[in-house]
Amino acid sequence: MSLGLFLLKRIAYATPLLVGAIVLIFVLVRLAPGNPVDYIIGEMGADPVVVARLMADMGLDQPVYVQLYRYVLQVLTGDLGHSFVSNAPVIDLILDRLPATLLLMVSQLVLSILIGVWLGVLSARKPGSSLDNAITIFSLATFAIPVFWLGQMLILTAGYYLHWFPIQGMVNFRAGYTGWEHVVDVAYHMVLPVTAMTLLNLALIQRLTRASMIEVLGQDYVKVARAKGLTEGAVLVRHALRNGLLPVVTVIGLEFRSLIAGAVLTETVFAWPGLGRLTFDAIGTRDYPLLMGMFIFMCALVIIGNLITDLLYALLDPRIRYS
Amino acid sequence: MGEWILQVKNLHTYFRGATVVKAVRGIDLEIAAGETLGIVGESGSGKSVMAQAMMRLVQSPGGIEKGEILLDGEDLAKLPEARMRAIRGNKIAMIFQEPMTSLNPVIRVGDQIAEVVRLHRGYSKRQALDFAIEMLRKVRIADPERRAREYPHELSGGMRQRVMIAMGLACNPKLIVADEPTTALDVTIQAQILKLMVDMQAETGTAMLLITHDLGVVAETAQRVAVMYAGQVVEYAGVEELFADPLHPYTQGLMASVPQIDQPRPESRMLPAIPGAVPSLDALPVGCAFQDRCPHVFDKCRVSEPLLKLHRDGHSARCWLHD
Ligand SMILES: Nc1ncnc2c1ncn2[C@@H]1O[C@H](COP(=O)(O)OP(=O)(O)OP(=O)(O)O)[C@@H](O)[C@H]1O
Ligand SMILES: [Mg+2]
Repeated sequence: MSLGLFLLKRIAYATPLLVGAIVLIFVLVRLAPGNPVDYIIGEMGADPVVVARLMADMGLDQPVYVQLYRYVLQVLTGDLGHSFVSNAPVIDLILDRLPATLLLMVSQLVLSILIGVWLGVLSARKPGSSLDNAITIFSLATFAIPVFWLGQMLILTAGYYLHWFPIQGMVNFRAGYTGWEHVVDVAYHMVLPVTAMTLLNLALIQRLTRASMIEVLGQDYVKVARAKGLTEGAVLVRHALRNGLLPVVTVIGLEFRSLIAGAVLTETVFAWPGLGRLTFDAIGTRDYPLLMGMFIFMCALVIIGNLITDLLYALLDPRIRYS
Repeated sequence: MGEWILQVKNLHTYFRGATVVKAVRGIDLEIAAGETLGIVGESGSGKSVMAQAMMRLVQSPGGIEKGEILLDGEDLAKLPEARMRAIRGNKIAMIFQEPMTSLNPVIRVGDQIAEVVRLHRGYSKRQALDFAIEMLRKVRIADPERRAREYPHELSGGMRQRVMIAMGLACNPKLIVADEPTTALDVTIQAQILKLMVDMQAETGTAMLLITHDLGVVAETAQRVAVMYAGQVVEYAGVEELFADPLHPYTQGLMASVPQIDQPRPESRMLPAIPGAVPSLDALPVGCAFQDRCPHVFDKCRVSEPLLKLHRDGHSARCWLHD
């Protein structure tokens, strides 16, 4: 089976998942007491004729399955509704904040994968050595620390006392940098939140890489690779790591949800103007359309994340493509 | 024989963990160009460790303790690692027991063969792949162009062992170390692979160190045999000489239930069980290592260790009975 066909199949599997998520949120909202018309007319009540007209305008007089069908179609075309609190389309609010979150997530993911895999390989090369023990203690410690506490400690030490890094937000508004200076400014603001999230995720990746590399390094094909006369580096990277990363890729894919949860916490602690912060604020102002939109958007994000994981896995492991 | 291409002198290989496991204890061997030397012995007698030591591939905490491994007069035991790498897969190649696990599951078969000649011959990618296809043809794999693009899981066990042979012979090595190359295969496939190895050897003039449990295999392919017990060679002779007149009680025990070479063989050709077990290699008894299982044991055997002594032309044994 070609890779293209494999991807098509995966997309075909992902679509019903997304529709399922949309149906779920629709049902949840329908189960809640009241309807949007009550919300618009408020406590005062209104003429039944007006109410009926509003209901018809919003399609609420239609049978439930028609409403559901319309809602699913609406969402699939990218219309996530309208936020009354911000008086703006939900999708615009989300897309406005998305880059800030992606910047944070991608940076910390790349960093924690690079460092975590590197430390894991170092550990696995000599299990039980003092280097391995030191790395193990380090990763267990970072794994056990909650991200909000770690974030606040970073703020307190590196930010508040030492004044090394800014502790809030993404840019220095007062300076109003542009161009290259703006890039440096953002990078400077990213240091603490990215550090907090990297430390959190790195531990899991290190432990997984260590375990799977120890197993792979005992495999016959690694002995064969050494017997070919390859350098230890080539044996590790070309022969062992490609196999050793398979379980790591799977788990990172499965952990995608908690990555998003971690992002919400971190963005809140560091006042980072991203989706996590947007969600947090939406809860505070009871902005239901925005929350619903966020829910569906995050579902889509997780599904896309899993799709990427599947594709990566298929790229790494030819056996997957055939089964 | 005149010109030895490989001489092993007093080779010791120990594993230094909580206790010292003396897996190989003073082995002397030599192989002439184009010759096949068979190594037989029970499980745990140190055959694989010796083979790995000859390629300097014993992994920590194991290592060569003392001794010389002379390849064309050059002592491999003292070679710097970088020089040793240039020899592995090039002048000495190894074929392993488990064809199912010896090939890297995520790399195309052709690329795994090509890797050897890219490394040692400096071939370009294209050249190396053409060469790999040529090698696959030589080991009689049908449709080699297609097979080269396949992954190991698409090949049968017999085919995979053919690929391993192609890989081993790629650089036209002086010596092939084959560690039980047919043990994991079906009986009919075993015969085919063995025939292939003998034919290829005749064609290329490569010498072979053939490790096996199977006395039948030795009788069919080897010119000379070394019988190993508890990390030592206990008997060393030409193949006909050994089968006609085994000197060591251990060799006699091995042959007791094996039929004559010219008679049809029974289903199982594995080494027959000799009562008792190989002594623990980290707590060997004083005297002969075989004393507790030997039917002819006498006082001297429990006091001092016999040496490997030449009894007649090319036939030596390590036993006080023949002193
Ligand atoms: N990594 C290791 N650490 C400690 N001891 C080891 C190690 N590898 C091998 N040994 C010991 O070395 C001895 C010889 O093992 P080896 O694998 O060479 O036996 P073998 O003759 O090849 O047996 P088999 O026929 O089962 O392959 C065994 O007693 C084994 O316990
Ligand atoms: Mg073995």
